[in-house]
Amino acid sequence: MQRFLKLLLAAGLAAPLVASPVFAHAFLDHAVPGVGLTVSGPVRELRLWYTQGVVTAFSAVSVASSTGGTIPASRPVNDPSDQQIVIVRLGRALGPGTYTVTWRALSVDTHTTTGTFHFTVT
Amino acid sequence: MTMFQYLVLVQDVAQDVAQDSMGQMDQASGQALWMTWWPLISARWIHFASVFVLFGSSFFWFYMPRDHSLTHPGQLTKTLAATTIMLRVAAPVAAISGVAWMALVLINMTSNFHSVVNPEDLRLFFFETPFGTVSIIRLALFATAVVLAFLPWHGRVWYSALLHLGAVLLISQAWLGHASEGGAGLYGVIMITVYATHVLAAGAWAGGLPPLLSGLVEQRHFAPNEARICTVDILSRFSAMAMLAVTLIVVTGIANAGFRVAGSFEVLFDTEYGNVLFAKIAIVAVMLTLAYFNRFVFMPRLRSAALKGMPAITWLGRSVTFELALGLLVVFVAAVLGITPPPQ
Repeated sequence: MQRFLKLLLAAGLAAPLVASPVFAHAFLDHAVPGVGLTVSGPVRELRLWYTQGVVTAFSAVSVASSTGGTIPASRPVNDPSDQQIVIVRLGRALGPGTYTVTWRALSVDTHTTTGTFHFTVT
Repeated sequence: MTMFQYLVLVQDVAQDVAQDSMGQMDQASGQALWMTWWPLISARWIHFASVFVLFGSSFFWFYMPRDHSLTHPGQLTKTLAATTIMLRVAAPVAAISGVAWMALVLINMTSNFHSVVNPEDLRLFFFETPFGTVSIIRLALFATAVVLAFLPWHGRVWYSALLHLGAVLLISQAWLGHASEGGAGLYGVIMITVYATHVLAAGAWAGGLPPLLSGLVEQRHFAPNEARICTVDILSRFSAMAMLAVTLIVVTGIANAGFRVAGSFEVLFDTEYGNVLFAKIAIVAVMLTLAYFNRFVFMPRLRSAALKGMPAITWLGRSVTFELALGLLVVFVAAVLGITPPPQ
């Protein structure tokens, strides 16, 4: 019995350590175009990598130009192979200029987070 | 594009954003969460407690000695009747509080109180989110539990049905909170299994306390020697179950906390999540101390007691009452913990 209890305790302690870490709530890990970066060429879609799975039905991503005009875009969708990746296809290719991305993400644990970042197209 | 997404975009574009941010708790959702905090906590607390009763109080009659079991109620007829009434109350309470919890989760998701009557938001919630499927299953379970509760007969099958309904309701909570963040792989399965084991063990222990207390009270009216023998008998059975349950609660509790902090337990200190978790641990520690005294101090005294003058039975009753009150408190803290963001 004591041996069983020790094994049980060891399993309980080890379980969170042997697996890859996940985070409660979805925060932005990185994006393409990159956060604060300058990219060349037209940009036709945004890809956002989050620290946790995102439920796109109640999530939103908007893109605005430096003049404040909203860039038409598709509703956010998950990458079919990874729920932590959100894809937004833009209504038109982005020309040179600085753009602001504002996002709101509902994570799979029912909590919401928001964030914003810029990128520049040359 | 849905109306919800359009409104969020319009609001976002109107904001003057100056700095890059990798994310923060949603302010709008935070305000909604603040306004719905007490209702949400209350709904979760009442729901957890009522489902614990559905599961644990039904389960109680399956590990009792044969003389007091469902097939042979023996002398604990009043306790059996009280348990039946308690289950008949717990089922509709679990259903109402469960629906309220679901509605408040939707309000927090959309930051909009009207979303609970908005057909588009309801369609998105039930059919385009991972919470939808489990919510539909839970609604069906609530309806089944309420129908079952008001059936005229209440035999062994009735108790077994409520026990299983309670168990599935407890397990399904995993998909409405932090335990669902592991994804669909092996890691996710382990997280759900650990959570399910934790709540089932907690439900068996805390949910078994009301019929145990009722049984102790009922036996005080028996002849002294009969009361002593029956109390020792019932308490031995409950203790055996509780010791296994407590072991599982502690082990899965450590694992659950580890999952929330990705194995870095030190981040629990000086955080809101850590404070709530330590409060829960402290209350459980007091409950364990009481359980230890019941099992290893009062019960041996009762075994060797003379026919007259058995204050141990009185002390046992008080101790179990206090344990039950602490059980309600720890369920409250668990309700708070579930909506507190774990440290990153």
